Amino acid sequence: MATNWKEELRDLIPEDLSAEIDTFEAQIEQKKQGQIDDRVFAETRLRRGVYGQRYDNGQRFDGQVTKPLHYPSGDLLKGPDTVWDAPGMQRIKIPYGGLTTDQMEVLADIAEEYSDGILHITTRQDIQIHYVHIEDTPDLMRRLAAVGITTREACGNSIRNVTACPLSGVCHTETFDVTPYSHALANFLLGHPDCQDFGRKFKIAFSGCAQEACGLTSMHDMGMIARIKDGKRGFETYVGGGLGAVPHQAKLYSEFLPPEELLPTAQAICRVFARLGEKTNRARARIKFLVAKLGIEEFIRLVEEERKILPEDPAWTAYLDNLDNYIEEPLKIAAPLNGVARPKAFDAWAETNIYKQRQEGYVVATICLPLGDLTSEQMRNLANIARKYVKDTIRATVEQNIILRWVSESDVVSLYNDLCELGLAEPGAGTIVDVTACPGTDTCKLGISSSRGLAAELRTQLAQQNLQLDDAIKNFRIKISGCFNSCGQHHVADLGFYGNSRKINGYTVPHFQVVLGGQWTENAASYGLAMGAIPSKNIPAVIERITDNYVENREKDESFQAYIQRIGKKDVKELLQGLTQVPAHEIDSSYYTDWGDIREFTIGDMGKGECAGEVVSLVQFELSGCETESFESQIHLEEGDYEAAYKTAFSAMLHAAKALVKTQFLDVPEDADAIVEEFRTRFCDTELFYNQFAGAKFANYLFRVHEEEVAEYTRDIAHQVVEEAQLFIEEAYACYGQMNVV
Amino acid sequence: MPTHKISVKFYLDQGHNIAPETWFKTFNNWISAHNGADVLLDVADYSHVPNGPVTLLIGHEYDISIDDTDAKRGLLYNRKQPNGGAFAQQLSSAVRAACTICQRLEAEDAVAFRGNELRLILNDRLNAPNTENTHNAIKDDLQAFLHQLYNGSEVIAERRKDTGQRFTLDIRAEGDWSVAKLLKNLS
Repeated sequence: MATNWKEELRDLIPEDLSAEIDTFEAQIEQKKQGQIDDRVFAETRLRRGVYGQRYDNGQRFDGQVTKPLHYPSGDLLKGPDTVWDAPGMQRIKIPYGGLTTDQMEVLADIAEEYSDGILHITTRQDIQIHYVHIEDTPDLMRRLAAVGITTREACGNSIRNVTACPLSGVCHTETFDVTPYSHALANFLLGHPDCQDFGRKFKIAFSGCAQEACGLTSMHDMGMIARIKDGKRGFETYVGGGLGAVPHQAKLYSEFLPPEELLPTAQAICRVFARLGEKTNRARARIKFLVAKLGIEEFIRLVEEERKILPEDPAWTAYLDNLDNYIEEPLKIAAPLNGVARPKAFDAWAETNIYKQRQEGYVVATICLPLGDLTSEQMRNLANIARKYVKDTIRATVEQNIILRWVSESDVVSLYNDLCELGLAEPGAGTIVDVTACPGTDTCKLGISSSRGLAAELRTQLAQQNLQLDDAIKNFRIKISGCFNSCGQHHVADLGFYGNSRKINGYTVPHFQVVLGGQWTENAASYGLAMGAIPSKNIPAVIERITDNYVENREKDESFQAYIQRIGKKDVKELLQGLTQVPAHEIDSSYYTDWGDIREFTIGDMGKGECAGEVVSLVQFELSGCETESFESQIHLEEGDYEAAYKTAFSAMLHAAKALVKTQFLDVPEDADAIVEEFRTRFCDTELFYNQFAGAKFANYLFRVHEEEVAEYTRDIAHQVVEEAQLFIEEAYACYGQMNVV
Repeated sequence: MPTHKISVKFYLDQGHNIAPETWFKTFNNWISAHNGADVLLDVADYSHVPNGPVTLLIGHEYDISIDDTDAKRGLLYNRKQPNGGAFAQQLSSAVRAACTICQRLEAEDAVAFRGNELRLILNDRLNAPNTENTHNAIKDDLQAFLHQLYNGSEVIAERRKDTGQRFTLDIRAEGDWSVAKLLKNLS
């Protein structure tokens, strides 16, 4: 029996992914030994999806005072002001939300063994688990890798999860199925050298059609909407959208981008963003600011220029040959639901949770998850249910639900009964009760007010009233963020809220900014208007007043967006009169605690967020990777594997040289000869890599080992190269430092 | 030999109707009052999720939850960090910790736990997969421990057979056992 997961799963994990995880495990060890800078390690773990969590600065407000949390790790940190032993969040990328039943089972297992047994679906089709110890993360990643999931670049300044409309391929209004394209782009950009030097994150979305919500392309850094032109597939492409504190609608980049240009254009955009995007001011580092600053015409010109000089890559078009390989099939034959006895609550569930596919006789069933949460047990049993009705046609959605596609209509009642047994047959998917919320103050370091606490309260209240709610508001979207950063996507909801606070009578009182009239459909076509901050405890009353007024006063068929525009901010303010008031603490102290909490409210628990990652230059980041290789070479040496020690040490030197060359020549080829030659010309001959006492000595280490032919890998030979690699990397750091001084 | 990741659940006898808010308040108060060497970190409310952890007290060394798995409410103690010693000692210390927490809740929240029934989970699929081999590996330690815990009374330990699940034993003892009596037996 294997004694560790690495050994146990050796044959199931792709070699490159396995090596990446081994490297991360070595970096964890290096950090514990004080060999990696806090910022570099923070960005390293973030690019593995290993995120910080509230209270990881080692303190917590208990309602009276802020108390230190005395973790056994003491002063050891895993990032600036982030205690080693403090539990964190693991974000798991699920490209386009696509899940298999095997993946669901492993997700259930890891949540049970390393987290708290709860899986959380995010607003970008990821899955998150919380309270994870950093030293469990390599094994957790191995178990995910064995079923084809990587956490690479789930956080940090990188390409985040590529999302897509969950109905792609079965939707009535789509132009074509965007799934294989989103999959290809996600694969192409994963770990791509041109995506490693961003100032901030970069989010991509695909949509099958323009009129539905689908991929929410207007609020993404890069968004693609399926188009047909002259009988050929392509994409209407947008760039520079985003929510956050300063929302921007994406700008049209191209009316029709052919599929063979999708990957190289994305690559060129990434290069322009990496080169010209803001790196210092984190608040203005997203691509939306770059597009706004340059203007879309200039941005397009720069991207087109970049596109022309990109080295040809066969991967740009290779995926086109495999498009037909992406086929979804039903498990059961299509058959109508004839005469089957329907349980009491079935019709209400089916009305909101069943979508008839364009393929006759099949439906999509939505499993509505309260606050996006489900237990490990539910996930495992849901995998079993999925096996019974469909063939791995399962997706996570940006509304924090899970859908089963290709369910035969004849199975719908049986499926409903099975879901009831798991407590997963909640009705109301995509309606006003299906409230979306980011983690907020529950676990996020940036959370100001309790988005989940408010969401849970609204969900309970609205579910109770559901039958009495007017049809005009039943399909409203409520979306809540714990702060202005918009992870809950409040800007695109009919009724959006984001957390803030106000100082009143010497107390800090939780509030929510009310944002009304955002548009979810047409790919999040317009953002809502901020109407003012209201105490958290009055938000249910805000919803009641606004929706009642809309139902009573809307003009015939007037949309909520049009109604808000018509009545304007002044009338809304009047409507909400009285709700801004906070009673004195001694009269009603409930206003001074947040939803879902019993502690007196504080903003003192907020920490430094990690959404923005750490700005670590590409060279610093790559040199840190070389140190890890050097570290691994020492371990090989200790273990007596001299050949591996020698080769890993050489690889460390080679990569350090390559990192330096990249500062002058981004497209440095991958092979060793080319790297050594470029390094010699650009750094050795020019004496940039030149020690004032030792001259070219360190550079010569690389040249010698590159040319050396080793007949037998002895301990002495390996030991020498391991030592030299360390010195070479030190000199590379020194060289880079001098370059920056100049 | 198996693992230090041991979970123990005792079921409620009285107090099923206590609202999640009460548990939430109790656990928060425990954090405030805590002065032990172990770290109690935060409380999470999962009462919106059916048949899961209703209210969870997260710690560094262990978590505690009011747990509704299988629609049977109880107190679940989940050991995360090693507690020293061989499996027999880790098992004993996990059950003792769970009993102590139950006793504290009984004192503070007008609840009662059934001592004659407990669920034991080895939360480690690598070192303690849900197999007969694992069962055999712990059998002697388990029998000796249960003999002490229930003072020689007849005990039935039933393993859940689904291989996808963690190694789980449902244990029932003859007689009427409170957690206080169990603690006494372990002292």
